[in-house]
Amino acid sequence: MEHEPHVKELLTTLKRAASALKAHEVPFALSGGFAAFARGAPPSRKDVDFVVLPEDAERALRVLIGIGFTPADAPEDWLLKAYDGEVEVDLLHTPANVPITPATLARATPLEVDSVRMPVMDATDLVLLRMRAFGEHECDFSGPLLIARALREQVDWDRVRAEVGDSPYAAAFLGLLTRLGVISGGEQEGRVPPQYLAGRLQRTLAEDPRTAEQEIRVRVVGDDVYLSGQVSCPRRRGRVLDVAREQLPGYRIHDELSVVRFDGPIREERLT
Amino acid sequence: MITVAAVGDVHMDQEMRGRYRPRLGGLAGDADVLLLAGDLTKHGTVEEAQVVADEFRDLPVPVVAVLGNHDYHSDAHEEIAALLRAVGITVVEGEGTVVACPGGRLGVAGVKGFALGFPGQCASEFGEPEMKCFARSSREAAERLGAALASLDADTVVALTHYAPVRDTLAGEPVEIFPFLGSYLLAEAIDAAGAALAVHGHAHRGTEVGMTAGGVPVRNVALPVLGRPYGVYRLDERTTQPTR
Ligand SMILES: [Fe+2]
Ligand SMILES: [Fe+2]
Repeated sequence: MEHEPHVKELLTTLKRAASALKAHEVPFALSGGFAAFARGAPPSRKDVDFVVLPEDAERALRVLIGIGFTPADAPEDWLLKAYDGEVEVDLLHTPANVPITPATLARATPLEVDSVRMPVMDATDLVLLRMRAFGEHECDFSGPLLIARALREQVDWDRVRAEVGDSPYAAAFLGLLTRLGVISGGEQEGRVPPQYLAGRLQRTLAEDPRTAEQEIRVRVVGDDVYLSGQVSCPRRRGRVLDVAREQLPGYRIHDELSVVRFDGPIREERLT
Repeated sequence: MITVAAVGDVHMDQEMRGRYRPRLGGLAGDADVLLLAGDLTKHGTVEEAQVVADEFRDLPVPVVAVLGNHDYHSDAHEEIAALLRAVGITVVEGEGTVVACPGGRLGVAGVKGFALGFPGQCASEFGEPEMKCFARSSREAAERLGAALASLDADTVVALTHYAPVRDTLAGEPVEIFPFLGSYLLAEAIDAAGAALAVHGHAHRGTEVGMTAGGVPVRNVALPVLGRPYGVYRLDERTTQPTR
C-alpha cells in the first residue's frame, strides 16, 4: 500500500520502535490511531502510541533511547515520551488512571503493520481507552467516531458499556453511535430501525391472511406504534391489532384505526 | 338519459355476509345498472366470492363487474368469475357488454387493469425480465380495454376498471405509491373511445372525482372513498367523439 510521505515517516518510526521493544523482550502492544489502522481504520497522522506495563515503562523508554530516540518531558504522569526526529512516540502505561495490565497485553493480537508483525491492542480495549479519555477538554468525537465506525464489528459493545461506567461523555458518544446506526443501543439490542419496522409491519398486515389490509399506515416513534387507516369491519380491526402486537412485542400499539362506513345517503351526480 | 350506479372494493368475507344487501334496496329507483369495480373479496377465495354472489344476486338491475387484485390473490379468479356469472352477474375482463336501458344502449367495457404510473412517473418495458413483464402487463391490459371499448355497439360507453386511469382520483394516497395504483395507458384507451364515464376502485384513500386529459369524467368508487353503498352517475346524451 502506498502511503503519503508523513504517514510513511510515522510508520518507519513505529516499525523501528516495535522491533526494538520486541528484541529487548519488553511486553507491549501497539495502541492509538495506528492500532486502529492495523484493524482497518484509515491511517493516523498524529503520533505513534504503544501501551506497556507501568513497571516496564522506564525500561521501554531506555530501549528507544538505545536506538537513537530522544526522550522528552511528558507533562502527564501516565505516559513517557520520546522523539524519533520529528515523530513523537508515546508509551502509555496508566491511561485515564487505569494501569495497563498483563491481561490487556494478553488480549492484544499479533497483526501485520506495514509488513511487520506486532501485538496490536484489542479493539474493545482500544475503544475503551479512547472513551475513558473523554472529558471537558477532550470531547471532539470526530476521531473516535472514525475508529468506532471502522472497528464496530470487532468491538464488544456490551463490555464497552459496562466498563465506561456512568461517564456522561461516554454516554453521549454511545448515544451518538446509536443514533447514527453504528451500533444498536443497549436494551434495544437487535431492534430494527423504526423505518424498517414500520415497513415490515405494513407488509405483514397486507400479506397475513388474517388481515390482508393494504391501507394501514404504521408510524413508529420510540416504543410507540401508531396504526391508522380504514379497515373493513370491527373484527378486522381487532385482528390488525393482534397481528401488530404479535409482530412487535414490547411496543405499545396505538389504535387509530377506523372502520369503513357505507351508510352515507345516496345522491345522484349529473354528468354532462 | 342513463344512470349508472357503481361501487368497488367491497372486500367481502364471511363477516360481511348480510351487511351489504340491505343497502341495495333502493337500487331500482336509483340506476339502470350497477357496476362493481373489483376487489370484491378480501383474499380472493371462492368462499368469499360466494358471499359476494349472495349479496349481489337477483338485483333489480343488471350487475357488471371486473375483478380486482385481491380477487386474484388465491389464484382462484376464474372460479370466482364463474361463480358470479352463475348468479347472473356479468364479469368482464377485456370484454364489453351492452345493457339495454330505457335511455338507450349502455355499453360497458372492463378490465382489471394494472399498475404502471402516470406520464413522466411510470415504469417502462426496459431492463430486467421482471420489469418488462410488469410494464407489459399494464400495456396489454390497456390494449384489451381499448379493443373492448371499440367493439361496443352502444349509444353511451362507460369504462370499468379496478386500477385507476388518472392521478386525480388518487389524491389522498401517498404520492410515492401512485405508480402502483394505476396506469395512464388506461386513460389513453378511454379517451380514444370517447367514453362518457370511467369508474375505478383500488385507491381506498383517494378521492372520488377526476377527469382524463381528454375530458372524460373519472370516478373512484372504492367503498372507503364513497362512504355510501354506491355512487350514482347520470349520463346525459353526449356527443363526444373519439379523439382518434
Ligand atoms: Fe381494494
Ligand atoms: Fe385493489
